[in-house]
Amino acid sequence: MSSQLRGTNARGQSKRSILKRLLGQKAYLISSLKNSRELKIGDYSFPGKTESECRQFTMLLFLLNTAIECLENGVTVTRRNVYYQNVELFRSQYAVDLSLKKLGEALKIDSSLTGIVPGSKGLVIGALRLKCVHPECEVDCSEITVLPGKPVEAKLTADLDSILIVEKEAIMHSLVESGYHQNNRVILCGKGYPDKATISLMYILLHEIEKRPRVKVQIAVDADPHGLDILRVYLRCVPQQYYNRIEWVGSKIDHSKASEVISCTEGDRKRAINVLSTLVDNCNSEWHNHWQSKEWCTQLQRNLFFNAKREMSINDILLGARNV
Amino acid sequence: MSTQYLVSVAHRDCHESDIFSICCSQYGVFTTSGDGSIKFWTYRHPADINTNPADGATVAGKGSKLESNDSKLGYHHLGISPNQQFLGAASFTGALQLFAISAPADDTKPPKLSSILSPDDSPMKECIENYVWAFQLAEYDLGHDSGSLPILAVITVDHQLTVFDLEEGSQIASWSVKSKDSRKGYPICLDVSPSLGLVAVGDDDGTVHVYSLHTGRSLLSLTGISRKAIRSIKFSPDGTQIAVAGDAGSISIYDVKDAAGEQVALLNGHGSDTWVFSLDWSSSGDYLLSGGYDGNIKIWDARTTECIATHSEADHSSAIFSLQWTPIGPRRSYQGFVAAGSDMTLRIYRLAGQ
Repeated sequence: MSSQLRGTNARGQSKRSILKRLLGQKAYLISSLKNSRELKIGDYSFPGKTESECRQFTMLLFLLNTAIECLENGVTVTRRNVYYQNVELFRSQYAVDLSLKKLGEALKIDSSLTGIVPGSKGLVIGALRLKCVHPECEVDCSEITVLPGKPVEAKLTADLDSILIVEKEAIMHSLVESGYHQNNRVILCGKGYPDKATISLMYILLHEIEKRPRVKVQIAVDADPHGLDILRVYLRCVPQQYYNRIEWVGSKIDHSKASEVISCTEGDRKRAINVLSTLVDNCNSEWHNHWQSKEWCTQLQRNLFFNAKREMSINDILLGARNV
Repeated sequence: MSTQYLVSVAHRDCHESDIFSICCSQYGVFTTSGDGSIKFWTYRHPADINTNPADGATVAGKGSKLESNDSKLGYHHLGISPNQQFLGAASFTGALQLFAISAPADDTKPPKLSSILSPDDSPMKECIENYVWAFQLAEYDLGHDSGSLPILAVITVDHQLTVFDLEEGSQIASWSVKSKDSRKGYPICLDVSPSLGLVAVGDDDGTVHVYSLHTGRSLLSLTGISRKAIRSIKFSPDGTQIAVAGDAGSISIYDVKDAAGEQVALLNGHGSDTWVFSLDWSSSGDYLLSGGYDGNIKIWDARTTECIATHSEADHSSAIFSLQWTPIGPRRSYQGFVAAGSDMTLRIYRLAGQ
């Protein structure tokens, strides 16, 4: 447990000092209860004047207890998990995030050190070691690894042939089962729209391969407006000098896959038009000239013209990678 | 049939992306694409190409780009009015642009397009500036020697079929095209039969809806066995039959006379997983043209239901999105058909020996 408590923040707070403050608050609440005094966490009191004040206090209390549990046991829990532990109370993910911020302000503590962490979604596998600062750790990624936080450094432990970014976790698992990652390949998965940690790792890896012109970063997303928008989010974060290192390997809607498609929904159609507009509005910008944007627009137009979309399959990637 | 068709000219790279729609006029053919431009091509083999026309020359696209407000997001449907005076182009933004066509001075020049605006504050203006998917310009026969009315039939992204008086901009009829499960289905294609006053819509869920302009009511609802998307629907020239095709790969012909709705023919020939994107009846109603995802174009004898010709000039990995017979009109000087699709090549076929 001691090693877990070592991390300190800019204000000089350590996990140990935060735990102390949290326990102090808990003891204060218990004594208030015993002495029939009003319960208070900072400016928030119980029972408040309205139902919403009452609910706000309950959320803070829930988070206080969760944070104490995490710090005492040296574990972390994601904000997403906290939300699922009491959906009825929080009602939205946003309420968890906001209440955690309020708890931090009320107790004057750094809420990022409470052990309640933003859910990291990114997954990575390959011959590399990652170094993170929040939380401070170094992890080996020879197995599928959840990014512990925003990585600051990636050390390649073997030669590297290519880096593959996939939209879906299921595809990543299938690829790993087929041994795809064993041929000096790194696979990164953002599980839908990538979070900051995933984007940071992509950025670090791009920097890492700067002196290895052979190595490409391939991106595989679904052949639907959602997937093509995710592709846009990744590309938006790629610095200009790396455009020629990025390849979009699918999936696409084409003639051999006619039986694999499903109909678009109303939402798909709206999103397709939005993404298409965004691409066209950017058609004079640098990345548009460097990149396969014409084919990209065509895919979105086909989503609309066919009223059809297609999920990526592992074969798209295996065949796409072979063609390179 | 002893008649044979040959590629007269193949214009390659006519557009910068998929050619989603072509439209034959008495002057020549209009094409449009995801690249957002509208172009014009003559049927005749261009005189300035120094090859033997009989060989079916392949030339780099030498069409005329027409002055129009280009659509940034690209166009997907084109249509011309039967009197050859108006052209419509629907874009991915949901807007339908209408143009007046000025006839060219001679056969070697392209016609001119000028944008026309719908009457202000008309129901048509609101609709066609925002929600159009597919449309058809047609003439509605009023009967009793009252002449005919130019109409515009549109299917919209919110599942409505609406028919407008093209000149007044007023609404003549409107129907909601919805499946039982409102989350499913999407109207993909439509056609108007002027003689019987019918409008047919093909839906993504495999249903064909036929409505009557005379009564304002739904006349028929045909549910295919396959429940696969319908991508093309065309009334026979006399309006008594309707040809329907789509993702099932086969083409069904239904009798719509007296609201019978009976299937009278099933044309099998395209593969069962080939999407048929486009159909067209010859003006006599004797032949049906079809093309789809396998790149093949087929000509069918509508009476015997036999496939009498298959053209596979397009690569099999490219799709035919749109095809049409050249019209027989007062200025007819060419017999054949035209097809285009994802290979960005426009192929003009002519009757052999012509």
